[in-house]
Amino acid sequence: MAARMPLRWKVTLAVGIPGVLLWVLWSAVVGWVALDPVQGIGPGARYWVIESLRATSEGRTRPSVPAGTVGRDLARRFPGPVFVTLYLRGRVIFRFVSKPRQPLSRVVADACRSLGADASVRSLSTEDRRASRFKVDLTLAQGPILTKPRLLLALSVVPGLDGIGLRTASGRVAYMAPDELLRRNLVTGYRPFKFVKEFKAGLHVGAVAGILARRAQVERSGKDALPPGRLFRFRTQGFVEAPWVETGKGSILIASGREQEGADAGSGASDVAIGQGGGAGGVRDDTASRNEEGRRGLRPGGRKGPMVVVRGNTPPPRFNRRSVLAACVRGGRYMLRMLAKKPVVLDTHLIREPNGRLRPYTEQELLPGERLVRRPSRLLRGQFGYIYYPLTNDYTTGGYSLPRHAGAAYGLAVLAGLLRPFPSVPRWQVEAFRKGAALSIEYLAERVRKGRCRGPDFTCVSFGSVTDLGSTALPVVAIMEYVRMTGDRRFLDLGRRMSNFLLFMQRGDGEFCHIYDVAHNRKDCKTTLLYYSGEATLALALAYKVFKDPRYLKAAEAGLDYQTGQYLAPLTMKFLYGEDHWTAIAAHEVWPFLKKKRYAQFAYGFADFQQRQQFVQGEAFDDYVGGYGITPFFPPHLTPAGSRTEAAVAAYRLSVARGERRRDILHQIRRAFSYIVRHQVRPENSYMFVDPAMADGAVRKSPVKFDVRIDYVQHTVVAMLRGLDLVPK
Amino acid sequence: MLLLSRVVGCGMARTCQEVDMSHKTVRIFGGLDFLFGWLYLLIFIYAVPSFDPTVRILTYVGSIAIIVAGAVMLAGGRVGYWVGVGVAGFLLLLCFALVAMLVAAAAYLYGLYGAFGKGATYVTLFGISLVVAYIGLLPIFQMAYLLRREVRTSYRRATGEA
Repeated sequence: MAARMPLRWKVTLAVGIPGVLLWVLWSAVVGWVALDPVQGIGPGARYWVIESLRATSEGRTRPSVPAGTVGRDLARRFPGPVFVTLYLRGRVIFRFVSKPRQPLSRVVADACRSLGADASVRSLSTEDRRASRFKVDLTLAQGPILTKPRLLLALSVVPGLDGIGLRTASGRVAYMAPDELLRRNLVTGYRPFKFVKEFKAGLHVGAVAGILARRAQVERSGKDALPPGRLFRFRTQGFVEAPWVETGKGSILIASGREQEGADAGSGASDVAIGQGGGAGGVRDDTASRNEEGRRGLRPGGRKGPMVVVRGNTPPPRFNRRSVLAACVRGGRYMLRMLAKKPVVLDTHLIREPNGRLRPYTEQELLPGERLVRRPSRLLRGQFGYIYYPLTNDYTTGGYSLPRHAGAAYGLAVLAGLLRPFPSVPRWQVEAFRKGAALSIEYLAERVRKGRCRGPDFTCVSFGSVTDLGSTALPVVAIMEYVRMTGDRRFLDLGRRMSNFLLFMQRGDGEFCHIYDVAHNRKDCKTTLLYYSGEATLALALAYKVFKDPRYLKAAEAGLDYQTGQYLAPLTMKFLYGEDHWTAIAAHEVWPFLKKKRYAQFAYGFADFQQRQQFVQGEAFDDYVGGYGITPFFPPHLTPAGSRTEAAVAAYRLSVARGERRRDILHQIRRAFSYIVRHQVRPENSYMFVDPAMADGAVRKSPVKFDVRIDYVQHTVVAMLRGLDLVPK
Repeated sequence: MLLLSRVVGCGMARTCQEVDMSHKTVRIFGGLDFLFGWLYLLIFIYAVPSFDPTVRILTYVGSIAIIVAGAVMLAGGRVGYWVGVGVAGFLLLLCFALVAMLVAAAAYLYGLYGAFGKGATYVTLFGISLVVAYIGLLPIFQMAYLLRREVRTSYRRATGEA
């Protein structure tokens, strides 16, 4: 029978049957795992919930349950528990987890009872009460997850959106809410490739399994084993109480008192709350504490409506030129706060793991067997607090990178120059940026003075006996921009000698040697490192603009010729680009002195390549739009949104100059800026941070990673400044 | 190439009535199975050894079974024919199972994240293409050839069946 069947039928069956089976499989798996969340509650009910909790914590009478839509919302039952958390400077000082499927009004009543009985909450001072913020998570859906293979289990919890739970055979249930996974730094802890230690993605399965097992009071068979029972995920609707705002100031009251500058043009706090705050409206006047305020000299104020939280983040300010400008100023102020005006010793810590390995103090709640080790770090005058951890208010200064330091100095110089024309930015603020840039360049000059790098009319920045090209290339960029932006010429001679070092390091074919042995005055032209060729080319282009010395332009041209020519010769480079943003920026900086078409094509090609990796509306999660990534499983990092966008700005300007306006690049730039602004630290979205004032303006690593290295801020801020006029008013 | 020309040539001309010719082609398939078995074994030992001991043993046993099957097919005869059908069927099933697992994993992540992303789609398609190329292609040709009426008839004649 089958043998007599026509060939086309055979082929149709051979392809069709497996195809149908695979389609059925796909549909069945998607149907099994996809969540179907119930609708969350409206702004009125959110306001009522938060107001009830706040009133109880302050000893006031709770509001009565209103009728209408709010009343209906409060009568609803949810498929899982309701989590109520009170944060005070990053610490959880109160936590309540309700039973599932109870009416919300009853849950709130129970939470208030528990809150009222809590001695630590009752004893809060007015200052602490103002600094504290309630966060509520309502479970909207629960769903199954696979526990094997481990990689799928690790990816089974959407970072920042999902919580994870364990139901034991005895019916006991333990939960870890999305925020807890975030602030314990557990959403990116899995190493899919055991041999690549740095690459982590997905849930830290071992740690989560341990915590859930302890909460559910069950034993695990081994350190990495899963607890007995059924793991599941759940999605919540989160909302957080707005930060305290002093009446008439528009900035939050900072309990540490460290932030002295108050509200100014850079503060976007009011933007956020007015544009996006809960619909219940307006600043709530806190009359109950007025008398005490008067006695203690505290300023009166209140809070705006609760804010919806997605992935630990509150709604962003409305995207326009004003909010981007505010973001730039905030970022600049963060960099200034990180800058040591005099030598300081930071009280820093490390976590010692049970196996003796040390890791940065990134989260407050340690795992069993881990302990905190005090390791003070010294910062020299002009150095930056290299990596800041807002969840613990701690730092890492080890592995201090001179190129990144110089990048931050460059960022401050650009801030000082490009913000000058804006009347809304006070003069003192611009001057502070200029001073900051000068101070951080002085640190580099000090390294030159103390180093041994001396040559015929050249010098370089070095720490030890060997240095790299980037450690001098980016300082040249910083100095040239400082001179161009501020007119201050005090570092000019240093910049010239350092630029000469770049000439010295250039090969005959235009490429650069990346390593220099200072002790033996020897170039290593075999080792190739990321970024440095582009940085050196940009530095020479800028040096030409300042000195008008044709040697620098010729060297920049040779560098660009190599990087847009021979460098792209291998087959793989016909499909891919590397970390070539500095080259694209240099291609723009040499315009109009060098008008080679291929420079522009390189810049366009780089922007196009990045554009293909950029998340757009409807592709994944809304808060990923504008970020660069390849799948929604790995939240896009913020730094590329800065560095690649600075290159995109250069490419767009080049296209305009050449009469080839690329509107697609313009939209790419705007999307990236909105992504940066959305994730920048503001008072509203810093409820998990120990010192919100210290973190204000920082740009975190990713939507789910809170550490802030100084170059994350520099790249993003400089990109936004360079393209500020491209943002709609 | 020789193998492909044999298969295509027989298909087009429908002249593969020669018993010894059919048997020769089956031996060629046997030789390929033998080589592929070794290739799988070397890949599982040196390139991608499994971290899981059970899976590691299964990959070794499976590869060795294909080597043995190839050797039996090389020896020829009716047993070799049926072993050829069996090993091709097994590899086709394995190929389908691996593709199904890739699809299921993709569906699982799609269900979780609500989107799959271009990168993940490319990686999955790349994975499927690798599985089909390395595991599926040979047994497709082998099975298609062995189940041809002419080949089956020639084996019946050679072994004296009616």
